[in-house]
Amino acid sequence: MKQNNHSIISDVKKVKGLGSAHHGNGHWMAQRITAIASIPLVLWAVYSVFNLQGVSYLEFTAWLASPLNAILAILFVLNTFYHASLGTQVIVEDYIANFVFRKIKLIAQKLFFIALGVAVIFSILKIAFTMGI
Amino acid sequence: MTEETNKIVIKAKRPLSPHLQVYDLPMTAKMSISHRITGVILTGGLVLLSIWVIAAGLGENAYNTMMSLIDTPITRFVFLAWAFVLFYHMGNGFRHMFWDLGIGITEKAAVKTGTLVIIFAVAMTALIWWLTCDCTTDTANIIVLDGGVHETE
Repeated sequence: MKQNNHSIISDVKKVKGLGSAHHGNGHWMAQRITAIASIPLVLWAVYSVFNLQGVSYLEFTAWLASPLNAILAILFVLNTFYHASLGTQVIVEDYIANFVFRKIKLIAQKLFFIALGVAVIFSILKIAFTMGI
Repeated sequence: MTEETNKIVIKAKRPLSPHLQVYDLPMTAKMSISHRITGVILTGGLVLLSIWVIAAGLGENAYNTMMSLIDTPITRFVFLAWAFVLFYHMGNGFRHMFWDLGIGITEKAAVKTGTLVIIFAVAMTALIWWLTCDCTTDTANIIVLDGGVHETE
């Protein structure tokens, strides 16, 4: 193994995967950037959700099929799902002490967000392309 | 404490010193944990919004079934509660951003901005309710304009 004299982490710790993974900064920054981006998207989404309560299928699909709404909806999904994924990741890392449970939960919820996000974006595109004028 | 000694303590069921259940947490601590709790609730909200859109993507029957479940007086209240939770998380998010910039990190300031966040959340929830409470007439107008197109399909 190559000896790194500048590191304070011992070789044993390295092998065990302890110490900083150097991913923290990127995670921190991504959480803030998605938070800022979510301000206009969330305001639009809340206003829309309140206006769309109880509307019929045709009303809803006509609304979602408009290019502006479809694009904003996809951006909303990408941004908020990413933000939610980052946020819930930290909560799991903080509160689940068992290593195996923690890793399984982290992987499972990431896959869940990706799967649900793709399903929603597919649905938006389907409505936009089939119901759009 | 290593993991092994941890396990021994749990096995022995020794009494713990009084912890969270006996402390009256300061307002700032309550707001801090609320940020996480509201975040988790909002993640649940995202799942519900996703079901709404996916149901619409599946077709009219799925959409109608879903809407019959969510369009009740109780769920309208749930939507308002959701908006409050969301604006709380947003307001407290602003607070975190300012802290990141080194602004307002004294205890006095944190209590003050914490109160502002709660006022912000209540005010924004009221605003969104006020903005959309008469929405039925607005949407009805849009649909009249749109209706012709869809009836020909």
